[in-house]
Amino acid sequence: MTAIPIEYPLILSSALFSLGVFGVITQKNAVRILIAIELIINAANINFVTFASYNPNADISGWVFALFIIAVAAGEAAIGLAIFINVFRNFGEINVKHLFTLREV
Amino acid sequence: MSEFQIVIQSFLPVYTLLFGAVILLILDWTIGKKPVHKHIMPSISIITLIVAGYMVFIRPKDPSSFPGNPPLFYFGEFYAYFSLLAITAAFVIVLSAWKDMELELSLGVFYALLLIATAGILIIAGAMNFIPLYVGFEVLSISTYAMIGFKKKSRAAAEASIKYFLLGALASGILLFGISLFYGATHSLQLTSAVNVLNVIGTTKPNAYGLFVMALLVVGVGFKIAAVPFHVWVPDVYKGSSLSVTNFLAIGSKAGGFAFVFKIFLLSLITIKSGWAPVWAVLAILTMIVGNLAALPQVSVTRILAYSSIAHVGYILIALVSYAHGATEMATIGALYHLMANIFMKGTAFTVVLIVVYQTGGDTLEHFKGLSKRDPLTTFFMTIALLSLAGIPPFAGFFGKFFLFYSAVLSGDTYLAIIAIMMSAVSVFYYARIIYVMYFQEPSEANTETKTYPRFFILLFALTIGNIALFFGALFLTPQLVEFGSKVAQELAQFII
Amino acid sequence: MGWFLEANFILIGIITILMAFGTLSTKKVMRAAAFLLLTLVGVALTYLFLGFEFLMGIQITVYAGGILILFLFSVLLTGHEEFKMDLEFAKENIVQILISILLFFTLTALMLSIYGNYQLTGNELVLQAQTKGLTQDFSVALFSHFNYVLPILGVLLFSAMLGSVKLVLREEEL
Repeated sequence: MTAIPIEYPLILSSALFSLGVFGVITQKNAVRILIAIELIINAANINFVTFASYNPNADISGWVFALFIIAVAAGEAAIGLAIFINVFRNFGEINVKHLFTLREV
Repeated sequence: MSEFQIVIQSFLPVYTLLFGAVILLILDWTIGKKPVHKHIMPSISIITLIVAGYMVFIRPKDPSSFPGNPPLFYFGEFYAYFSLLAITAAFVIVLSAWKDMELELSLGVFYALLLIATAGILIIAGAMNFIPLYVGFEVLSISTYAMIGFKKKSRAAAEASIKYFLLGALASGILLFGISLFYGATHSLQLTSAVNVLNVIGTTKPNAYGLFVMALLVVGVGFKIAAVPFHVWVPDVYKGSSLSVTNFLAIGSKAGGFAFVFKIFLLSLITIKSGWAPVWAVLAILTMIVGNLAALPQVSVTRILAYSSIAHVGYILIALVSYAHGATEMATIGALYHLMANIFMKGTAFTVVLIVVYQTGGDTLEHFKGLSKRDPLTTFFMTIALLSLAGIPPFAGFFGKFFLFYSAVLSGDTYLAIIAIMMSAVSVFYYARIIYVMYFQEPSEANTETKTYPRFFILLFALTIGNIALFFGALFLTPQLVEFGSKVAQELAQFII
Repeated sequence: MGWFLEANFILIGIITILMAFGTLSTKKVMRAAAFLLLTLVGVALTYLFLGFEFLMGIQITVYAGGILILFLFSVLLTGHEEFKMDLEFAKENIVQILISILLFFTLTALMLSIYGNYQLTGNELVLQAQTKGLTQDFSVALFSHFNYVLPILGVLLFSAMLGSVKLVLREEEL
């Protein structure tokens, strides 16, 4: 059994990263922005796993980091969605385009 | 000492803070409904912080004895200094939140989050590997997101929390991608591993790949420390969140962010310093100019202080540039000293804004009119803080700026020092405007409230004494200060093989 | 055998990218979450190809199973709004589209220039997995070298839990 070339997962991760950045700079709904950020985090995760799997020093701390990142993403998603619900209760929507009250103060 | 003992002793400050947080939660669930809890929670936080500060001093004397090969943590002077910064900052926040937050429900959760955020800064300061560094960074960020949105009924706080959260999450995603590329280049997540594997990101000058990694890391940390052009969130978030949390963002979170920046740029990326030094120089210039000029037309004092805190980030960024260009000792002294001075100055200023908001219901210059006639002592403390922010002796802000600018001169970046001095001169205008309004204008009819709060008085008094003591400390104990700075600089340099 | 693996990986990669594009372009937020689920599963399969089957399990259970439920709930609780990715959207966001495409090509070119002709011994490492089991290596690393970092992760999840419970819980008026 031979492993796949290292280029393939790297191209996948750069595609996911670019899509994530594209989503963050074009979307207006906060939940959609957070989904785009999840794409960026997944791209980073693919990179960590790839670089650890193909590591010439057999250093697999990248795998450990990948596990930690999933847990951190869980925490971040939990707090983020709580914030969104809180904003929705106050404003009635979570479209970042319409959250302008602070600018006027 | 056995390995286990060393680990336990090294982590004692963090454990103390977490233990305090758990106690606060248990109290919150048991006596959280009784009116007395609004005094018990801050008192327990203060005791926890004092014990944690003591624990920092009794950590194991040989910091390299931490187990693991290579060790994941290093509890040396850098760690001790930033721990004390974080604990002092948390102390200020507890005393100002004592009054600010007293009407909120489940106060125990607020102070628990504050203690956990402080623990996050301690972990950042001690980490020598990207995994604990990043996890500590996220501990700090996540607690801060929750603290900003803590006043749930307030629309402004909700908006501030969503803005800070979305930008913070994006920044941490970009930072992660940068770290992943760095890991691919160096085959190790150890902060100091880059020195062994130079070929991929560039030996002395970064190649295209190294530049890209550097750009991702600069964007990621730039959001956290609010360097221009990643500063757009600062005025809104500072204005929207309740003032004690704003205080934490301006002094505690900033210290953690700078610990993070120093760890990444002065340890990991030091080999390609010729690549990032110009980038940070440009960002420092932009930050100083934008921060100071944008503060001029503002009428809300919170916003003025928010922009002035952006400007101060610019001054501290000078230290990074001059460190890269050889003035390592003076740059280290300047950055560490200015972060401490920042706590005393910004802590006082935001606390006074808090008092004025309580007295008059607003924070614009209109509400500061004639403050000296209503409340002379508060005005006096605010004047000292503002003069210190402007960099006028005999206050700590003077030596903070002096060391930073002098390090720029020593390293040959005189243009940075000249721009910084010019911008400091500009900053005198808006600080003087607040002082002028406070002393020489009549208070409006509506604002005649003279109620003072003894807890705030103690806090302001302590901060002002600290401010002046820091100045005279730098004046009379210069050899010791230089010795400490060179010790920290050596500690940072010893990892570079 | 090698070409079969590669073809499979390319297929899964293309599907993952399409699903990721789906999360951004679909009309309803709920569908975006569904597309995110498929993206996450695609990424999980990628981990299998990279020789890390344990993280595939974690990704599917924690990420696709746990975090996605959070997203679904937040979509349910925050209401829907329609979003259309049509020609008008493309005209409005032409700069952003160009930036993203440029970012993709720059990033790919940079990574391939470094790693394309970079001799790695990854094959041997993944071959080792057949005999030894990489999950074992991983757990040894996690619980010996990184055992002092795991509690910090607990602290992080603890603070996230505290904060989100406080923010979401309805409290009676004071």
